[in-house]
Amino acid sequence: MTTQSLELNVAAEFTRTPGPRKRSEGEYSGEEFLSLLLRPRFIAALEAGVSLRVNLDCAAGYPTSFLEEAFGGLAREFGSEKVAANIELSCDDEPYLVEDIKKFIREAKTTR
Amino acid sequence: MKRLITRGKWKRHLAERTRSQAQARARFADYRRRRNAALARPAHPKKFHKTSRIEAPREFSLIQNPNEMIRFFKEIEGLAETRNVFVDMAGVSALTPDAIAGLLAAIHHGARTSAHFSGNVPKDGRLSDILNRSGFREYVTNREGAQFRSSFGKVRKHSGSRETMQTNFNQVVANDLVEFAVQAITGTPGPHGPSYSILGEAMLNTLNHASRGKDPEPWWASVFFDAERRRSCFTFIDQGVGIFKSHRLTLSLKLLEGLSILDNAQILERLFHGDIPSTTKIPGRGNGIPFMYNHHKANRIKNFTVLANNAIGGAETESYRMLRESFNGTILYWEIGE
Repeated sequence: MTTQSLELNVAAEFTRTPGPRKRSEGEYSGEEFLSLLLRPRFIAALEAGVSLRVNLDCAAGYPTSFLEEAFGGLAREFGSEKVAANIELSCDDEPYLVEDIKKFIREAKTTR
Repeated sequence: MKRLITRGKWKRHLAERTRSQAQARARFADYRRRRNAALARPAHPKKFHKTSRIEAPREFSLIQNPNEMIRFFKEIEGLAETRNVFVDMAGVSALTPDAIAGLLAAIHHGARTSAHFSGNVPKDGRLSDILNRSGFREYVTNREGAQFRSSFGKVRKHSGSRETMQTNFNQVVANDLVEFAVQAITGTPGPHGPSYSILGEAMLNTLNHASRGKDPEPWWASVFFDAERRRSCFTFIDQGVGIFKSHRLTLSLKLLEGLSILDNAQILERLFHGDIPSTTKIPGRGNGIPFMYNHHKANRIKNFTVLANNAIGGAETESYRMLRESFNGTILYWEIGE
């Protein structure tokens, strides 16, 4: 059996209570999530030629800054198109988050 | 004569002596600093003998009666500089939970002097019940050991509400407040992502933008369950500089504001709608309030209201207006439930 995607479960592997944008602002930041889990797992998925499936369920919620720093940060590093093409998002608890994150990926390099 | 100290030993001795002298000087300087700081603090804080009575506005609601409430809070803080304060709430005929959190913040602000705070409850039994269940009186009695004097970082639990005062980003507290709010509505504690997100963003804004000096401003967050309407009401208050003094406007907006073409209420409306660009020039910034507004538009939260400096905006009615009185800080208010 072949695996079509790598999995990343935020609540199970990182925290149920995501925090601020930057490490300096508090624990479980978007910056920390990006460097510890999201970026390495994304690179691993690229190398394996599969997509990265990020599951956002079972968390208390996600501050906008956390999501922007993590997913926008990934897109700033690898390019919005590459990230959008290689990442799958799932969130049954808060389905609107999927669209929000896609927006952060799309507008990662845009200054509002 | 035998040469007791060789050249190398002597050098090492000198270096060691210099090091130990420097350490001793540093220790003494530290001691002096501590001693002077201790001497500067009075052993017994001065107690005020005079007490002034201040009458609360009849409509005790920040979101519905902001001008009178802001003036009332300023008066409390002003009086507390020189005397004790008795807050007379007997005549209050309408009361909303945001005002209770606001009063707690004002009292805490005032209590930085040694003013003694006391007060009474509204004559209206329903309103006094709201006030008592909110835990308000436990905060204002100001007796020795009362928790509000040392409540930085602590979470208060009450039968009807939960309040906390913090100075940093604390997602555990945010989660605790949200679970409390959900439990009040559904009977079991649970998550509410939008509220958690708003609390997080509000804390971050306070941490990064609201501070008057180097130290972060304390913030107050409260949840109150309105049993009649089956809604949990969140209030977040920071007594920092407020959005319009912290938000660096772009040149074009500054120009429009300077020419009185745009007032703060109109700028607040644009901020809600995501039309105010981030002046940090960093990609991905400036999403906080527009996303809160989106939560309201998508009916994930209700009655989202922002009061900042001299402007108030409500997403429910899409009304944005200027205030006569200016609040030093920012207040976010929203509800969840039926």
